[in-house]
Amino acid sequence: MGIFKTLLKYEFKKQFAIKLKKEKSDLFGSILSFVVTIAIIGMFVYFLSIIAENYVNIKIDKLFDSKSRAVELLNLFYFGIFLVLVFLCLENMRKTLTDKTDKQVLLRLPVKQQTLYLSKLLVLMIKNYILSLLFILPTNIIIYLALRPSGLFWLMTIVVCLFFPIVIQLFTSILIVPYIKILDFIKNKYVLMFIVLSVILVGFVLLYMSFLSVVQSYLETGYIKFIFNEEFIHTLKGLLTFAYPINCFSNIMFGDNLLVSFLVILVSVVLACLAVYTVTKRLYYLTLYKSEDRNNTFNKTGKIKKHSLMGGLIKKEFISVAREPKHIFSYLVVATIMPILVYCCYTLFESLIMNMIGLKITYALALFITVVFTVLTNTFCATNITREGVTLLKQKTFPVKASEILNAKLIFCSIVSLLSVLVTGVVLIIFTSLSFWQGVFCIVLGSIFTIAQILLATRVDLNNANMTYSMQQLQKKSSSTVAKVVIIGLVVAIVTGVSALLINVVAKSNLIAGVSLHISFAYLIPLFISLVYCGIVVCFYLHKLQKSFEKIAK
Amino acid sequence: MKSKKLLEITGLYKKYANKTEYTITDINMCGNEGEIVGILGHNGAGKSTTIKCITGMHPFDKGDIVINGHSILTDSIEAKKDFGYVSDEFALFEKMTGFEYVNFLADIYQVSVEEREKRIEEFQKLFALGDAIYKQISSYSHGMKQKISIMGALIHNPKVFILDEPMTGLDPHTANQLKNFFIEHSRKNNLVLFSSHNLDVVEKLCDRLYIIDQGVVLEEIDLKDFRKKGLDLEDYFLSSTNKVSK
Repeated sequence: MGIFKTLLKYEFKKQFAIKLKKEKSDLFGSILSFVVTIAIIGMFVYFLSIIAENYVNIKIDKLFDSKSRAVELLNLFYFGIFLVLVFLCLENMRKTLTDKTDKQVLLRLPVKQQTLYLSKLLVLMIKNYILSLLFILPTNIIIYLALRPSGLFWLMTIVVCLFFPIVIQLFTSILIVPYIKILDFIKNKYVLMFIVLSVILVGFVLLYMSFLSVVQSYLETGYIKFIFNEEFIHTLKGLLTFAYPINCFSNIMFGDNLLVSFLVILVSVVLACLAVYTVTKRLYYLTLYKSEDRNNTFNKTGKIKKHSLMGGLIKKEFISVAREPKHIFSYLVVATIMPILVYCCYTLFESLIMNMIGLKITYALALFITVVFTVLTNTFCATNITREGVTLLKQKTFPVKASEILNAKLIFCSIVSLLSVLVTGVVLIIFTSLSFWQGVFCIVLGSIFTIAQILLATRVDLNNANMTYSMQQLQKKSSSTVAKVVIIGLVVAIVTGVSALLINVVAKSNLIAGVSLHISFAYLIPLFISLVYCGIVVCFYLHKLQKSFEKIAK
Repeated sequence: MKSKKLLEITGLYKKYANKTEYTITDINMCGNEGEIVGILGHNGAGKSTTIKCITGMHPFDKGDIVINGHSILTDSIEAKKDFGYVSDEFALFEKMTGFEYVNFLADIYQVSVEEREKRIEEFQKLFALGDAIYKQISSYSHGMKQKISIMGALIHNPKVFILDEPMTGLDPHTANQLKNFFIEHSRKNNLVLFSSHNLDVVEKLCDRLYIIDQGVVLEEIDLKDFRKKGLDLEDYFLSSTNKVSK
């Protein structure tokens, strides 16, 4: 019991206490992220409560049945929560199972593997309960406000909060081994990973866009056609009938099929216990050791190809980005789907502006969205220096100038980002009403912004890089670098985009009496702003560059 | 015939940004063709700092370091072409395979395809790397990382081979291979310079030795003379460093 208590304390500190300590040292960042999180949750809750209010009052087959509608809606919400929580729990459990500290320290101690795992599992369960509460309570409040059901609703909320996390644990325990296996399989196949991540991200973008179009349609008509459609509701009802055991939770909230629902929930709990036992008893070690056997083999032919100095450095940059899942996602995938993101935002805002002011704005809007996304895509470059860690110090021993090492980074990032801007421009020219020259202008301005952002991000990172820091401190430093670079870039991008939009609107509609502006200003002023910005950034980048590079020392 | 000086350090001072005192003070050292030179000292004596200054990793405050006739201050690119360096911490590009890493370094030093083919084959045999060379460095053991680090440092056949605590964590077989390689490399009119706190290794391998303590060179010892006189290095080292501590 003593060992278990010690392990539990250790795991609890690892999962909770350290994070709290970390947040304390960056008070402003913590407050900001707290406010942003609350704002996002508040926005979603507000929007979902509007949906709920309208949905429960809908008539199906000319019948008004608000309780059935509430059950359907709750079913839908719970199912969404279930999917999100299972994914989060899978990730938490994967990290726990493949934690290096286990292999290096804990497993060498006289501790039974089951004891070790149980201590971890208990902390995971606490996390699971906290997460479930965070999701379930707002959902139930939304439904309560829309329908005002009886006191049973709150009593059943307690039951749901108690048992829902256990069902999540059941599915997590069943899925954890295949999940780790799939990740291990993909980890070795970087091209496949790139494709999968791109597809997933495009899927999320499309989902988000459809959500925004629902918001848009509501703002325009006060009515959500997509959701308040009889056919949709019938399909939803049919699908959710099979969503066991999640639908049982929504049933008991309104006292529907109480006995059967409780029975299903209880069976699920028993199965959860069995699944947890199996994982603890049999699969823990198997998974642990299998995950260690990662053998990534490349170029087995041993064919040697000589590169120029710059070619070698650029290849090194490519390998370090293309073989790291985090980097693939945060840079290569984002750069690849940037054209889709820009196109989706463009179409959405074009119709929104059309409905709001009755003007069709094409070029200025395309320019605005392109430069904003250019800034966001290149945030990755704010880790160009720090992500290298000690290997950057090693490069100081190479017979290479600092400028050459940095140029290789800049060239690699420029190739990726400029290609992305180019494809974005081409997509806009082909699929929107943007003219050829307007598209070319967007590409030119996007390219200027790309160069400026890459230079700014790299130099700010270089100034902040200090190899006396641990990797954790470096990561923390790099997140503040990213924030600085994004804020500066976004401010300039917004000024550039808004100036183009305003000039365009004023020139087209004569909105301000007595002010006449030639449309060419909508091109010249953004070009001027971006050139000045780029010029300032180039000077900032080059100022005492060699000296700053030399200063990076441990 | 007098052998050529491949390394000369004169009046080297280094102070870290967050410290008020110098970490190393007035270091003077040299290394000649065909020599194996050791830097011996306790943990934190200033061995690694000295080596990091030699390799250009750390800027220094006073003095100069000349490698094969090129100053690391004024002619750093040429100076860096003449040495290969194995650091105490594995600063390897972990996403690369061993083969890619060695080839990357060969690109940096612009080694011809024929030469790198010859050397990779030679080292692959010497260190018994086999097909492991085609696997990602992140999957390597400590010993494997050390081997690949050495291969990378020697791919351009440098005149000066610098190593920081090279024997740490190596299995006896690999350590033995490495010691033999030091002798072989120095016999080809090259200089091998390494730091260590292992007295046995230093005593067996080195021709000359510098004892460092608290950032100061305490003694320069010609080990051939030392052995002839039948002195014990352990006693000598402990008495030298104890004097300073007192």
